[in-house]
Amino acid sequence: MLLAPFKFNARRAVLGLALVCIFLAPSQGSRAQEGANDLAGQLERAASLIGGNQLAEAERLLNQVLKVRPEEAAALNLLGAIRAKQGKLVEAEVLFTRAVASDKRLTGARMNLAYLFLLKGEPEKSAAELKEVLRLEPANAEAAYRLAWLLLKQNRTDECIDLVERVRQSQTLSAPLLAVLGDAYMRRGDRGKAVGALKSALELSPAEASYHYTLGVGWLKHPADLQEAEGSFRRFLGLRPGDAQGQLHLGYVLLKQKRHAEARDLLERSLQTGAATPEAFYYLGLIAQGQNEDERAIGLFEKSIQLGPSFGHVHVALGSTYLKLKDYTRAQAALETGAKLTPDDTKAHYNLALLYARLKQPERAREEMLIVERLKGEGKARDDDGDTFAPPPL
Amino acid sequence: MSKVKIVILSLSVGLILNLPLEHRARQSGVGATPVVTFAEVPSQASRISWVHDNAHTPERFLPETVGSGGAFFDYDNDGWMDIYLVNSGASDFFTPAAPLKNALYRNNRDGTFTDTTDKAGVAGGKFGMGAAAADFDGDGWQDLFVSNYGADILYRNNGDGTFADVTRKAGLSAEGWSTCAVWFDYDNDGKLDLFVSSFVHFDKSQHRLCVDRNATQNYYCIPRIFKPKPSRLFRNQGNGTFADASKESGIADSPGKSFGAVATDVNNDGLLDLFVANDTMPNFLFVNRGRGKFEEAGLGSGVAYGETGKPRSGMGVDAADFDGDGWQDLFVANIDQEFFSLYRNQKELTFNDEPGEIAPSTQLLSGWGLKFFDYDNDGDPDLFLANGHPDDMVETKSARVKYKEPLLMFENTGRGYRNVSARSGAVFAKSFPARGAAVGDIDNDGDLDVLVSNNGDAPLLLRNEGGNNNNWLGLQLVSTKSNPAAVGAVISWQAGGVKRSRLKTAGGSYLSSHDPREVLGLGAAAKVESVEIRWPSGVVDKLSNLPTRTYIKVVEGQGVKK
Repeated sequence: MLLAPFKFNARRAVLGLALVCIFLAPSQGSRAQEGANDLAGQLERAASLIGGNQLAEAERLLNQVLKVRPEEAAALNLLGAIRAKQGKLVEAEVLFTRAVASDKRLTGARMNLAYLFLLKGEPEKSAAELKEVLRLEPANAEAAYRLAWLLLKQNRTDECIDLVERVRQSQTLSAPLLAVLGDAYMRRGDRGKAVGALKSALELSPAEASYHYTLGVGWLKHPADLQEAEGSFRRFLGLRPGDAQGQLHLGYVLLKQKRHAEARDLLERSLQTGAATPEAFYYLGLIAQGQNEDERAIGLFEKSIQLGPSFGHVHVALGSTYLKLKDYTRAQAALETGAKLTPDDTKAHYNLALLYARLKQPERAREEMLIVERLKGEGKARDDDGDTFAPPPL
Repeated sequence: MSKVKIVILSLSVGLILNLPLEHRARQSGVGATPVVTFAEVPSQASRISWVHDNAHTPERFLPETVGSGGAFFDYDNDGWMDIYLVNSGASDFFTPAAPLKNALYRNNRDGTFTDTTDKAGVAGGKFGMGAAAADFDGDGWQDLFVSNYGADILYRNNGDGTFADVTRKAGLSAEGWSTCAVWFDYDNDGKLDLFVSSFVHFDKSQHRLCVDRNATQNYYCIPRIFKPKPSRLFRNQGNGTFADASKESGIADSPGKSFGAVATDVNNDGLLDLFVANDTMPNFLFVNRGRGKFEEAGLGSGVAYGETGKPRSGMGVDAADFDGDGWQDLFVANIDQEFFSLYRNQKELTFNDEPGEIAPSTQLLSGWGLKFFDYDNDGDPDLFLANGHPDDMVETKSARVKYKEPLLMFENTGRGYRNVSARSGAVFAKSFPARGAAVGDIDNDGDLDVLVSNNGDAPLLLRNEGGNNNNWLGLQLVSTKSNPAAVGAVISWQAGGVKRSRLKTAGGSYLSSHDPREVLGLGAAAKVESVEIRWPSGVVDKLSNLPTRTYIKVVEGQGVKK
């Protein structure tokens, strides 16, 4: 029994006791060995009390059991759960460990240990317990999900994929596990499989906003499919209308399509709902630039620079605005700063070339275009013209 | 300035030319809110049965997919636009089962056309690309240049319904892969010179198989793999021959992979410049510095590259002063995902890309034929785009990009463009493998119609319905000192208190040639208050008391003539 299931979501995955999840159910084996109805009844009642947060009463019951059977694994596990809920992690670990020592097949205790180790920042130990659970119960979907998630968090992408694909051979994958698989494929750069997994997750849980979001981010990977990304972020915002990150991402996608008015509306809303980031001001500046509101663009770029002085792209955009306004002194300063901060930004060097050509310095212009060519040759320039504004940070 | 001769003339209503009765009857509708649509004229109605053969082969040789174009021109001087269509033909990689022909259709003045190709002797027979019509020898008859993969053809109009192939005599018989051709007078000597875009170095021996990852499917190669080639400029020597001025002019210093080209005056110095689209290479802006010299200024002017310095796949181009500030703006259509560019002239040879609503509408499209023209006669240039992806297998690689693509119509809002395709007729809901697009008034009703050539398919004739709900005045410019096409003339007019101006450009679109007449949109104004024509020679004709809803002939230095 999972008291407080946590869902896979990198942004929302907060490790803390508020989300502690403790496996309370005594193992089948333990119950079979017990054989006494009163013991089973006591354990079930204790589990129920813990679920209802009546910890003192539950502890009293469990102490009665342990007085008679000091190494009763199920009772130790439940008592460990109480300690964990009380924030007494060391004691909880001791109790879970004793439970496992007493009954090596008690997978609930191993699951609790796994989670406890995660809380303590010991992912390797956590993974070991989860693997043992899966060895004992290959069909344990919860263990598979947690282990997959853990591997992904540790950037062990290939192991994660191998694990989930193995599980897939023996059982239908749950939506959370499919979502983890989708994210893993995305990280591996296999967008086709990633999208397939995430779409399957969404078929099972269409109202899970985070899946739409993850899918949208996936569509932004190179080569971006802006129309698909737009659809995903729109569905995400349909479920979470006020989400600033969703607004920022959808605004970005619309900007990439040069749908400036729609993008501006969303990005301005994202600022109001909490995404006052350098990127948001940068995107709004690009939109102002596209709408021929040059002075406004300059103001937005300057605001972005205030928030993130080392954000090179925005210096380049500022420089290109000054270039348009034929303020070549300011243009040069901003473009050179941008090129220094982001030397791989082809837009910086292209605009410098444009500037030098206008200043009748053809050699310098040629040098900058050679840099552009070199960067393109190194694959640092993408095929589309929008590559100088990367997707918003996750 | 001493050469400037100002002629002030007036015109009586009796000088109306070729105004069909049905359109006189329509005059009562002037002033109504114009609803302009384009109606597809079926081949049964037009009697244009010709179909383009793209010479498609399993190997997918690149010339197969880039053609072709067509022309509106009045070859028999009857005042009605005839149609010329360019076909593929025999080449080093293609032997047609039966001879393929270009087609000349004479306008029967009743909405139908008659095939006069054989009688006129303009069947071509080469692997054709495009056509450019103009009176190169100033004899009053429109001649025809046909660009080919292989040697080009210059047909001189004999004035009797036939043409003579004068290519060799004219000195234009060089082999190569020519695409767009532009007749214009670059040295202001009153004769029409010829710019011919060259695409890549290509022949069958250089063909490469471009295959998918599994080497199971051929695709048309992206031109990036072929070497660029300089375009050519031919100076008209006035005796029926041309001198190759490519080197001396500086044009040959810039090898490109050139498609569309338009001649216009981007810096208002009275010398015609050239804007040339290149595929997978930076576009060229050849600025005419006088004395027969051009300077390539694409980079500094900001029209060469995309916004990150990436060369794009430029195909169709055009020029017009879309914002009415007196400076010529430029347009170039690119391939999908690259966005099309509307370059607003910022003076001092600088441009800013401001596509506005055009950008999101064209993100997934690949543009070829295109033209600024005033489709609703409200006085400002609107924009028509003909699209189609060059890769006939693109749908196996992309879910969103299609081989056949929709046409687009954009209306000038004064500040930019608004996509009005959805309300411009059912044809805009269809998709085509469009390439060339020519604009002309096929029925002399004062609103401009469109001819779209489709790769491997029948051409599309679109009749403008409602463009003449606004008032208009058509001008046929007849030069006496200036070049015969009056390219570079500046026409200014005032109607309803609104002053407007237009520079007569040459070329533009893709592989196509347009009705040489100029239709001035008057909006709801009942009369045109004044018209001034500043000819390239410097002569200025000022006209008043002009009729509306008709075509008039204006002779340089003499004003309106019958």
